[in-house]
Amino acid sequence: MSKADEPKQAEPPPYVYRLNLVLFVALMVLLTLWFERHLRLYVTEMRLVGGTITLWGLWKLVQSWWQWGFDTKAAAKGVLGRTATTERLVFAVGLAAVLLGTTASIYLVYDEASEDAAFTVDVLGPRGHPYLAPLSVKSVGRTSGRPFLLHLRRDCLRFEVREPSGYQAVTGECLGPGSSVQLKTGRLKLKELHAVCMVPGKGVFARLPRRGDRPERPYEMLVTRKDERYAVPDLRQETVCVGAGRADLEWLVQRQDREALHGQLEAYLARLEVPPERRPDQIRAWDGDRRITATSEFQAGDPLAVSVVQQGGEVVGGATLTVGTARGVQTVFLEAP
Amino acid sequence: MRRRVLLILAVCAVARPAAAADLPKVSTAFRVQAADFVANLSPATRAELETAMAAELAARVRQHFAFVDWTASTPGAAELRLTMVGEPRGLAARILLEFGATVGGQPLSLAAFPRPLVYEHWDSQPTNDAPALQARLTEVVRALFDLDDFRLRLQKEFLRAVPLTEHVPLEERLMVLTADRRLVLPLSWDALRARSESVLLVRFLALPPSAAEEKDGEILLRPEAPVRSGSLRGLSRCAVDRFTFPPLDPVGSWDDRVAQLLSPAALRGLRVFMDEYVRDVNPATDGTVVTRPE
Repeated sequence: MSKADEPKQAEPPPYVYRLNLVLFVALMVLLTLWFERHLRLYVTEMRLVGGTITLWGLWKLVQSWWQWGFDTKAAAKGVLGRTATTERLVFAVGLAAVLLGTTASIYLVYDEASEDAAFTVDVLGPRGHPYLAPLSVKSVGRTSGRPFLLHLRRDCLRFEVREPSGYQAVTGECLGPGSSVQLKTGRLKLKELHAVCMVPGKGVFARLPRRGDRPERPYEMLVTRKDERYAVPDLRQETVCVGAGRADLEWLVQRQDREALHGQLEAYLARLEVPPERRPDQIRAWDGDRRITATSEFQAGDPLAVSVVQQGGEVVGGATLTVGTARGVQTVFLEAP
Repeated sequence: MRRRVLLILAVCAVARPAAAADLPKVSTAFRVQAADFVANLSPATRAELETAMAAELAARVRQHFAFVDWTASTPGAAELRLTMVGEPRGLAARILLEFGATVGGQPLSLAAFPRPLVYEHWDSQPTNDAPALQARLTEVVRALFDLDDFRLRLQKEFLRAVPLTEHVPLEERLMVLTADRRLVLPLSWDALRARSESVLLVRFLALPPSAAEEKDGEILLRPEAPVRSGSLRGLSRCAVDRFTFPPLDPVGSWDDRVAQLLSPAALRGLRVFMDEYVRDVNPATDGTVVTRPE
């Protein structure tokens, strides 16, 4: 029997090939989305790879439609021309759709709009408990987070910036099935902090004990803000900063514009006729010894009354002031009455 | 007749007991008045510091001026007082030492005296640290006494006003060795420790024979050596440099009227002062060898 006499194998209709191509393209889109949304930390450049393959699928689809340079027989004999492939692709598309619909993820992403070069963020669940280990990103390691497979709940989260201090918490982000919470560091906003650093000045500084002294009659500083009253015991020749929590205050003081501060201290010393060559020592004494005292967060316009009192009740010095509107550290000199 | 009187005086002088009188006591005191230190140091701590600094002052001044008995613990005929004061300035008070003195209970003006600086107003002041303050004060006081100019001023403005024999009966305040033409102070030569460059000033009030009223006179003495024999042994023998008793013009080293005017009959008052003092660092000699070197 000649080859021509053999019965012809039935060719699959062209639409099977096209259907498989459509399913293939759909699968690639779903996979690209899944990887990109939830597994970006583990599979990088997915947009490039998935996008290229998807484009190839679309190209083949267009090519089969227009019959432009298209070999119908070859296509029909290929993997995409088989009806069995359709079954597998339908299964894969279904699986990918389920994965995409049930996977959730949380990512912290560093972006250039950030105020700082590195961040560590605590993610807290609805009850305030850690939802996952703290996320850390920096300008050279920009993404941190993890996916949650088969996540079927909806949890509203709170993001608290552990480091650096001074940032507001982010709330309102909820993690539901299929969602991806991506917190870009550029969205993190600095708190409206108003710290007040009190410098013992004229008539007060010399009265206070130095570090290491054992005063027979120690001093304390009393700070009154509205109904709140704070006492700073065992006061020394030091600058006392108040107006926020400890971490925020430390961060604020660390970020304070030292040049401007030293200029202010220098001008004060010049007014008190301290010779230029002796000013650096005094400025170091003031700026080097800072005592951070945690208080509630002060607001602009808050009235403050500060007094330095020696054991026994004698008021040595103090100041009455209003917390300034500018964000940051306000420097106040405490002087003898 | 005149010779006979002088002889009697000389014999009387020699016959007196030769117990050396004590040197006049001059007390030292220290006071903390600077407000920041007063506020921070308790009264007990301050008293302790003041006692220690008074002793330090006595030790310093004793090192240079041996002709009085410096004491920090008991009141004396005179007092040298250091007060730590604060002058309010820029950042804090400027801390200074001020000298004050009294002689016989009367304050002496030491307005031109130096006021040594302890702390500038920009210095770190140990207002809560008595040991650190004491160390600094000691340093300042010692540095001050190292200055020739300061010591000269102390002598000129205070010590020359301290009478040396005020606590001795009038007739024993100055004795006459007529034969030697010398005067003897009732003070131990070893204790006085005055070199011959020192000058003693004697101011006296006497009623001259056949005169109607008392007159003031002055004698400048130069300490010479200890009296080496007799009942005055060990006391300070002085040569007369100048004798003034108006209307007599100043006369030279000796005048026969000295013995007359200093006799109990004529003498009405007498005070001896150390006008200039050069301390003898090795006073104890047996004539050739220093027996008690410093």
